[in-house]
Parts: sequence; structure tokens; C-alpha cells
Amino acid sequence: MKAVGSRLLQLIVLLGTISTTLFLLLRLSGDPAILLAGEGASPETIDAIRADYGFDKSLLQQYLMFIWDIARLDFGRSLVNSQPALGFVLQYLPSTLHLTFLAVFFNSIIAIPAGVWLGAKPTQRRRKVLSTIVSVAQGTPAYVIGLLLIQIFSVWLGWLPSIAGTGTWAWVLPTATLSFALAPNLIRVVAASVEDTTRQDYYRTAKANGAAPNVLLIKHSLPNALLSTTSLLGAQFAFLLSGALITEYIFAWPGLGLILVQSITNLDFPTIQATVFVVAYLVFIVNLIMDQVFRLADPRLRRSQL
Amino acid sequence: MINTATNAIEIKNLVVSFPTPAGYSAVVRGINLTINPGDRVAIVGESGSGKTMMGLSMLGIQPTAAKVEGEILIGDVNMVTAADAVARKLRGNYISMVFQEPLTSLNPVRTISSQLSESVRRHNSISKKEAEARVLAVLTAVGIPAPKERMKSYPHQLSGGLRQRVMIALALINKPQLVVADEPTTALDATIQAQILDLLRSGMGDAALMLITHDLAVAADVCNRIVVMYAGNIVEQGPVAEILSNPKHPYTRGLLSAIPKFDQARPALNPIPGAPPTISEVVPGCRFASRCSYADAQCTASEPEFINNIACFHPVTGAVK
Amino acid sequence: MSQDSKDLVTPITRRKMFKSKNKSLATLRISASILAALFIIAIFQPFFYTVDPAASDLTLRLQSPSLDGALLGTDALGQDVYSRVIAGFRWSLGIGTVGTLLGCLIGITLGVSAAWNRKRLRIVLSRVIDIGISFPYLIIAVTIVTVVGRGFWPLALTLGLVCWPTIARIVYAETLTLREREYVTAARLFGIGSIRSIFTHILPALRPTIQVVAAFTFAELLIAESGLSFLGLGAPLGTPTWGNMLNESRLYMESAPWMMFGPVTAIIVTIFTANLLGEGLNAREHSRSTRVSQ
Repeated sequence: MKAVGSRLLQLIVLLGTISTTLFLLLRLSGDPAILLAGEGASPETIDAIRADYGFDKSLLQQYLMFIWDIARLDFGRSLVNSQPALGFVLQYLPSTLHLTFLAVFFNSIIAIPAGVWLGAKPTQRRRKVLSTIVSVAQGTPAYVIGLLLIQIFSVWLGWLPSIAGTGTWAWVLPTATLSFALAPNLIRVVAASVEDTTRQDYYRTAKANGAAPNVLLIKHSLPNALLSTTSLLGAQFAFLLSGALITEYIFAWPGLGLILVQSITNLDFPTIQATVFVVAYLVFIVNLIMDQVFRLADPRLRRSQL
Repeated sequence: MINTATNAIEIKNLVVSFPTPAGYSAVVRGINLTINPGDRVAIVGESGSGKTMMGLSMLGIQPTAAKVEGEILIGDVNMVTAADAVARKLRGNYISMVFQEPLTSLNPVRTISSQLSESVRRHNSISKKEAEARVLAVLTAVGIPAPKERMKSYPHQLSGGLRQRVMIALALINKPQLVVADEPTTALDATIQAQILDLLRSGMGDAALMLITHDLAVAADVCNRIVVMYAGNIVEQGPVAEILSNPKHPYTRGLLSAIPKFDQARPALNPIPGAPPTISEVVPGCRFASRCSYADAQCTASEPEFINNIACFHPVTGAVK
Repeated sequence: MSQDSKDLVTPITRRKMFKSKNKSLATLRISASILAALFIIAIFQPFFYTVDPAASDLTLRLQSPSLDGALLGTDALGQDVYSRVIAGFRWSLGIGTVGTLLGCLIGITLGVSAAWNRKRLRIVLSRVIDIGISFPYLIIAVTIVTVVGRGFWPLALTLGLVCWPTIARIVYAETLTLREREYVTAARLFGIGSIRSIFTHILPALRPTIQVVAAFTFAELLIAESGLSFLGLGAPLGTPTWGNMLNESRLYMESAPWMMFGPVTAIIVTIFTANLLGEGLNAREHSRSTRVSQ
């Protein structure tokens, strides 16, 4: 319960900081009514918006109103289609979750075995493989991977669609892009954790009792190594819920990332705010779940927290 | 498979070396040692004298960078050259080891019983139930209170003393011929130390014990034979009484006089001056010469051979003051 | 029975032992030189243009690369891709530098203060760092950029303002161990003030760590910056930046695939070099600390 409380506090502080920053930036960077109305709006529209949002009141009053609205999860209406912003944003959530699960799944089934293979027996050659993968992947941003995949598989070979919603296989390229972007880090961390366990005293104890290499790996290395990998998986999950911005944009995948980019392009502030809040909330949920996973998986945490 | 008629283990000319910038340097420099069944041998020396590395290589679990030469004979198996599959059958079964740090030496995410029964079932084809019965029996034998409940515990839930008892149980569970215990009491409280030493003295069954320690008092308490190591060599060995009453090697005498004597009015510490040579340091003569008050030209020119249980050109006689 | 000590030292393999160390030093030198060269291009960019990167000639649009014409082809407005890639260096390296400096300033301040203080400030600051780490900073960056507008300084400062959590956490962890070192404790016992201790003992000892983190942060900001430009949220449209150029090239993937080649190469080479520099610095620091401990 204490863990949930402290995560909740983190969420509140984060949301408070973001909304206060947004509020100050919006108010300090010129007349927000003009900004909200968009370019070329008539003076009447601007006045209407000003009255509607209470921009004619004092800064403190405005701030309190702003926070009060947010506390009630009222972000206002989208400037593009006049739907309540939160509901509008939530429509895009399933699509992002879909892509996130696909990416985490494929990333894990590729990267974890690869990491175990590299870490279990860190020979000179395997180290070389590892460092090559990491340096190539670190130097290649996700959108470059995405564009190259489209160029190869959609434009030249014509095997796979490059736009979401255009056929059964539309998920393949975005998933591949995200997996490519995430896998190297996961491989590196899994390999390092597995290698680290082989230097532990308990590993030596098992060896001193005659454990064979495969027993050492499965019964002694993996339980401990995967435990320390869990936190990275959680972080990747949190990243995907939001950071798939670019991938969703490239493949026109109708998720939170795409809606964020679109609402920024349209200067649709209610929607931007709602999206940021939804993402922060999702990150909070993921962290909460990760805490629980840790507690179940690591006996050392189980007793102290129950 | 193993002929155990004569001795528990026989070490012939064992050299363990590590790569350094200047080439391979030896931490164990040609050791000969035989341990008989039921023997209690203490290996005494300062840290860095190579005693731990000797213990690890006896099981064939030295660090991968280490190079081991010579012979370690368990029956007719030479652990230095044996295939891993052969050596594995002996580890934890015929020869086992107790480590210094009981907390980190047990797997933190697995229960006591799962770790012990894993070892039982590896070396015996018995059912899970029979294995658990044996775990219970051995936990009882090493003096763990409420062993049935403890079986379900994780290492972090036990006290340091209990953890070390579990480690000893793990070492004894397959009734080995030889247990190597590497500083098993160093990480424990003084009162717990005494209990663990009791267990090592009287709870080992038929197993021979090789106790690695830096503490002569502990060695004398538990063992019947003392082997003194210095900078990778055995410098003196003999029965406990002999070593304590009539040490011949200046280093052994130094160790004895360095023990504070509280029966005197003013307990005085007599530390041995200086420090042992580092492993990569090339010393032409006796490696103790630079710290030895008896050393002369012969000592710095050539290295004394190990003859009649001592490696010294100028053995001293008489009790230590 | 002891052996002659000389037998135990096998022939010297010093060269083999230090091959890996020399290799990491070579990595460091090579990556530092390449990065320096890229900075020279960024500073003296007009010398490297073949034509004005802003000049457009609609009669020459979507030309494929050729040796006597446009080296890397032309884009949809007939602008020279090669010259625009060169112009992109100033933008990217500039934003990366400013952002990294600001991020380091914030990160070091927060990290050191959190670790140095033993009371409530530590709890508050380490929580702040935790929160910062848990939230993907790109989201915050795009939101801020939306409000403050596009352009070099808004983008550089925004990225600097959001990239500090990782730096802060690493600095925090390192300072925690440093402050327990004997010489730091001794300084405290001698009554030397906190600020002076931090400046004379902590910061100099942190330098190698900070160098490594800064190199990796620089690479990360390059990715973030070009990503934002690619989304159309970073550089003003039409500015010659790699992200903008890539975004424009998306529309012509079938008819003019070469448009991607220049910016992609520039991005990958620059990021790769910065990461290599980070790895080289890391390896040097690592070999130093193992040498001390031996």
C-alpha cells in the first residue's frame, strides 16, 4: 500500500509540474486567446475564447481555475472537432496499446534469448557481436529504421503495407521498427545481467556442488538476471506508450503519438494537455504494475513490504 | 569409480597462476599436500598467500583466467585435467566447499530446501520426497532449530549463523569424503563463530576437513594438523601440538607471537614487519627473507626447499616467548 | 620442493594484454578527431557549400545525384541536397552542444546537491530525479516547443531543460560514493565548507563520469532534435536541417529515394561518432580505475 501511495504522490507531483509549466508558458508567451483561436481568427472569436477561458481574470484566479478543471479531468473541448478532449484522446488509446503489446512481445522473444546467449558465455567473439549490435543500433534513430524498412519492404519489394489500416499485415513494419529500436538495449542489459550472475557467490556455490552449465544457467543465472531486466522492460513499456510518437507518425498509426503530433501541429491545446495527462497516467499504471511484479518475483521484497 | 583406499586427496606440485601485464604470475607456487580420510587439516596464512586459490582449484572451480598446473588426485581422477563432466560428478558429492560469505553464497531467489534438494538429486537418483527427507535430516544434523519451517525460508530470512549452518548442510548433504571450508567464521559474530567452530569440530561425520583460515587459534581449536602457507608456498607443517609448542619456521613463530596474549599483564602485539611480496614480484631467494630477522646472504640468493616439513635454511628451535 | 620463481613467469605477453587498452585509446582518438572535423564543418560551413543551400531552381527539381551537377541530388524545390546537409551540421551540432551544456548544468547541480545533503533536501531531490526519469522527456519537449515556438534557441533550451534526469541520477550515484571517500570526509572534519569541498574534491573527481555522460547525452539530443524536426515540430519548415530534409523526402520515396541518403548518412555518422567517443571515454576511465585498484 505504501508503494502505491508513493507512486501516486509521484504522479500528482508530475502532473502538477507539467500543468503549471504549461500554464505559465501559455500565459507568458503572448495572448493565449490568440494562440488558442489559431491564425486568422476574427476578433469576435478571440474575445469569445477570452471570456470562455476566463483569460480576462487575474493570473492567480486563472491558475486556480485551470487546476480545478484539470483535477476534475476537464481539459476542455478539442479545438479541431469540439469533442471533449479527454474522450477524444481515449479513442486512440486501444490502438497504441495494441502496438505497444506487439512491440514488447516481439522485442522480448528476440532480445532476451539473444542477450542470454551473449551473456552466458562471454567469449571474445560474442562480445564483439554485442558491441557491434549496440553501436549500430545506438547510432540509428527509430525514424531512419522506419524509413529504410518502408523503402525496402514497401517501395522496392512491395511486400508489406506502410500505412496503418491498409490490410492484415499493416502492423508488421511499425512493430519491426519499434523492436529494432528497443532490442539492442534489452539485449545489452540481459547479457550484462546474465554475465553478472556468473560472477556471484551463489553461482560459485552451485558450481561447487556439481551443477552442469545448463543447470547453472537455467536455475541460478536466469531467475536473478531476469529480475534485474524487469525494470528495463517496464521502462520500455512506458516509453512505447508515449515515445512511439515518431513510429506512429511514419506509419500513420492512429495512436496517442499520432494524435499528439497532430494536435501540436493544429495548436489544439486541450487535446495536447489531455494526451500528456493520459500518457502520464499510463506511465504511472505501468510503474505500479512493475512494482507488484518485483514484489512477487523477488522474495527479498516480499516480506518487507507485505 | 573412485578408489578411496589410501587418501582423500593428493596434491602434487600444484601451481596456480594468473595473467598480469608481465606474463603469468603464480599465486600457488608448487604445493604438495596429502589429506587422509577423516583428517582435519588447517591451512594457515595471510590473505594473498594462495590458500583460497588452492581450495578453489581442488574443486576445479578456480576463476576462468587462472591457469592450473600439477596434479590434484581424488582417487584416480586428476581434477586438473579431468573433463568437466567427470569433475562435476565429484563436486558436491565427493568433495564440497563451505564459503566465507553465507548470505551471498546462497541463491537469494530460491528457498533453502530447493537449493539443498537440487544438490541431492543431482548426485542421487531419488524422488523429490526422499530428497526432502534428506534435506530435513541434514538440517537437523547441523543444528538448525525448527528445520521443517526453515526449509521453506529464503536465505535473507535467516540469521548469519543459520545461513552458515545451511551452507555446511549443503556441503555435507551428499556425505562427501572431504569438505573444504574457506574462512567459514570470518563473516560471523564472535559468539556465533564459536558455535560454527563446534559444528566443524564435531559435526562433520566421516568427512575429512580442510579448514582455510588466517587465524592460528581457530586452526588449533578445530584441526589436528596445521599447514602454514606464505606467498604461495607451504613453509611449515606438522601436528597442532608440534607447531604450537615448537615452531621452526621464523614465519610461523612470527604468526604465533602476533597473537595477543591476555594472560600477560600488558598484552603486547608483535606484528611481523613489512608485507608479503605481490604476486608479480620476482624474488630470487626465500620469499619471506625481507621480513625475516634470521635472514642472511644464502636466504636472498636461493630459495629453500621443503624438506622434513619445513622450508627454511635456518630453522629455529624452542618455544615462542 | 618450491620451484624457481623464474619458471613460474611465462614469457611476457604484455603486448597481448594491452592490445585492448590501446584499441580503446585509438577509438577515443579517432572519434574525437572525426567529431572535431564535423564541428569545423559546422563552424566554417560556407567553405564546404557547392552552392547556396537556400537557392532554389525549380527547373532543377528532383535531380538524381551526379558528379558534375548536384553531388547528392536536388530536392522538390530544386535545392542542392549536399549543401543543405552541410548546413544541417551547424543546426544539429549547435543544438546538441547547447542542450548538453544546459542539461549537464542542471543535472550536475541537482545530482550533487541531492547526494551532498543528508537531510530533507536529499529526499526531495532524489524523488524529483526519480519522477524525471520515469517520464519520457520527448513528450514534455514537444509540448514546451509548441508553446514557446520553433527555432534554434527554443529547441536547444527546451532539450537542455528536459534531458537532465539521466545525468542527475548518474552524478547523484557517483557523488554518493565520492563523498564517503576518506579525503572528502577528512576535509569535512577539518571544517572545510560544503561549497569549497564540492568544488575542490567532488567536481574534479566527477569530471571523467561527466565527460562520458555528456558524450552520450549529446548523441541522444541529436536523435531527439532530428526526430522533432522530422515530425515538423522542431526547426521552422524550410530550414536546412536533417530532420526537415528527411521529412520532405518521405513524399518522394518512390520517385527520388536519393533524397534520404545525405541526411541519413549525416545523422548516423554524427550519432555514431558521439557514441563512440562516449564509449572511448568510458573505456579509458575504466582502464584507469582498474589500474589504480591493482
